[in-house]
Amino acid sequence: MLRVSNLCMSAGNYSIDNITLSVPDGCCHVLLGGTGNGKTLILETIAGLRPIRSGQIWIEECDITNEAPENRAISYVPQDLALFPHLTVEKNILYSQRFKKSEGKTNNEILQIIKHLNLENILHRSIQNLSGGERQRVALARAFAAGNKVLLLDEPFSALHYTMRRSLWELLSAIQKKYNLPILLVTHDLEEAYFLADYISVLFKGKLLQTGTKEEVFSSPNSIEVTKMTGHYNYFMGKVLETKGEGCLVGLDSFRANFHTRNTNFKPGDKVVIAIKTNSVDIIASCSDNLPYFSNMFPCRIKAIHDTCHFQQIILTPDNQNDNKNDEVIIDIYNKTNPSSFMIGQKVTASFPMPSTFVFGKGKN
Amino acid sequence: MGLKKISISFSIFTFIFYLILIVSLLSFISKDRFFEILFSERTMFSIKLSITAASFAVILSLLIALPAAYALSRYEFSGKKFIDLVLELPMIVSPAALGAIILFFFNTHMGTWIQENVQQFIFTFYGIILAQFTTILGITIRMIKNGFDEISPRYENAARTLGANSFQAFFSVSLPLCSKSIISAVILAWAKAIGEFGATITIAGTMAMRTETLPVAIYMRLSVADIDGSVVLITILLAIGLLVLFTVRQVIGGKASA
Repeated sequence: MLRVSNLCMSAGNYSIDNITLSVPDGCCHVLLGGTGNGKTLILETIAGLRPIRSGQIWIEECDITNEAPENRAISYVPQDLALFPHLTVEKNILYSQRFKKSEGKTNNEILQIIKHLNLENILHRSIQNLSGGERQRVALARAFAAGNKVLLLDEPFSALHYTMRRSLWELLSAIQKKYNLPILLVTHDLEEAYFLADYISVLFKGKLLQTGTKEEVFSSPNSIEVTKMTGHYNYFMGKVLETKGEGCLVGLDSFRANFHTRNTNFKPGDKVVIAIKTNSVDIIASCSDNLPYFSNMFPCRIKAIHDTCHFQQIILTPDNQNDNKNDEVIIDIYNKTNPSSFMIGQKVTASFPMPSTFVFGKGKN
Repeated sequence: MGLKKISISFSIFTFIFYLILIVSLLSFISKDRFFEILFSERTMFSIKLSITAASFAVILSLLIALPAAYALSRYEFSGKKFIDLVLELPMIVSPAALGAIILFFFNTHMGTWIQENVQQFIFTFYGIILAQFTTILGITIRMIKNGFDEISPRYENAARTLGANSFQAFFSVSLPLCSKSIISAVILAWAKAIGEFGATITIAGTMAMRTETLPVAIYMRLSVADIDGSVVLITILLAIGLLVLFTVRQVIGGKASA
């Protein structure tokens, strides 16, 4: 188990503060964040390749904060994989055996890893002659063969096409379960994060915004930034008109709406942002101009329809928009086997189910 | 005439210009006389002295250049910018001036003490090595540093997380990856040391069969109008230079295709 407690580090003018997370054995903890948010810096610091300002790093009950990288028992696969170009595939995989410590993998175990990752036939190939997928598998084999107790992966599959990524996710997942290794993986790919993660931490500008199981983070984002990292959302500006129990009535800048909120700290007059996932908005073909104002249903007109390979995207404009406002509602329909028969210009009703709606204070944005 | 033809004409002109100079050398001497001078005791001494001194100078400079170049490429430390600047010194100061600086140093208290208690350099074989070493050290460091700069530190980082300590990572990853740059640096430094004249003559003087390296020998023979001898020695230097350039091209060519 890897534990990181209140880790603070700096690189140039960039700093990362109070990173606390843990990765139990056999689990994958994904650090999710956009480019430039410090994901790589965190991994390099945990691997011992960068100095820390404060904080502690533990593997099981052993404090490794001040250990040299070679004594930490942490394998690190950087984004460019850093396979040694002057060595063959076999020598890359066996590199750690030159400095083998007592707890290292046996030759038999390394052979099993090579078989598991289907590398038997390319062992004598040069690194330069490998395909992208082969290079990823060699990097994983080299990291597993080191017999370390923790594996850090920095966007290892980002350069591969979708099919290859999927097959490598499955391979990584299987080999991780087999060796019961804790993995800390950095990615900005939502699908990769959801596929591989047991736990997710969302990183934004050097700070962890939310940590939890993947279900918790994806279903209950705690800030606008987390919604932006964990899915595709519609955002509407508004003002709290009235609070009732756990819910509140929010008057949107564009049109009136009654939205449910899990956060009851708002007071009437507070400026808020409402977020709702693009695949959680329902679209109803019939339209009535006399919808009850508390129903979260609004008359709209279809502005555009886009087809992608995975889903159909419909863009709506609310019919009852206020002056000078130009809000759009984006709806993603994933059921492609039953293509919708909507047409541009058609009047429809957009329905926003309350449980899928999140309200955040505008000051946080 | 298009740009292509004009530019090619200039490159051909350059080749012909040097070819005429080289060929004109050979018109001064017959084949028999050439080999007679080439295998004479004095010429063979100059060749051996030049090769030996240059080899020692290169080995010494490599021993210092490797760690120094690595430090300049990988680490940030105070004074790094000044050290980096000093590396260019042999390129901007003429070799004769560089030799004079060394000569002046041996006239200081420390220099005199070294001459009397450690090693006599002025007018000796060791003076030749020192002169050549001073001339090539900066260039050797610069070339090897450029080689290390091209290698991502991520390779060493990966090696460290796979169990190698910093020395093991250096010897098993950085050094092999930089080997072609190091070989190129060694060959070019050796060629520069062989052809070094200004600093050598200032420190070691012009003593026949003692401090007579190839360039010094050319100077000595020209000064007594020994044209045949000069032509033979110049031809030897030219042959060494072309051989070195060819070897470096092969090494760098291999690097480019790797």
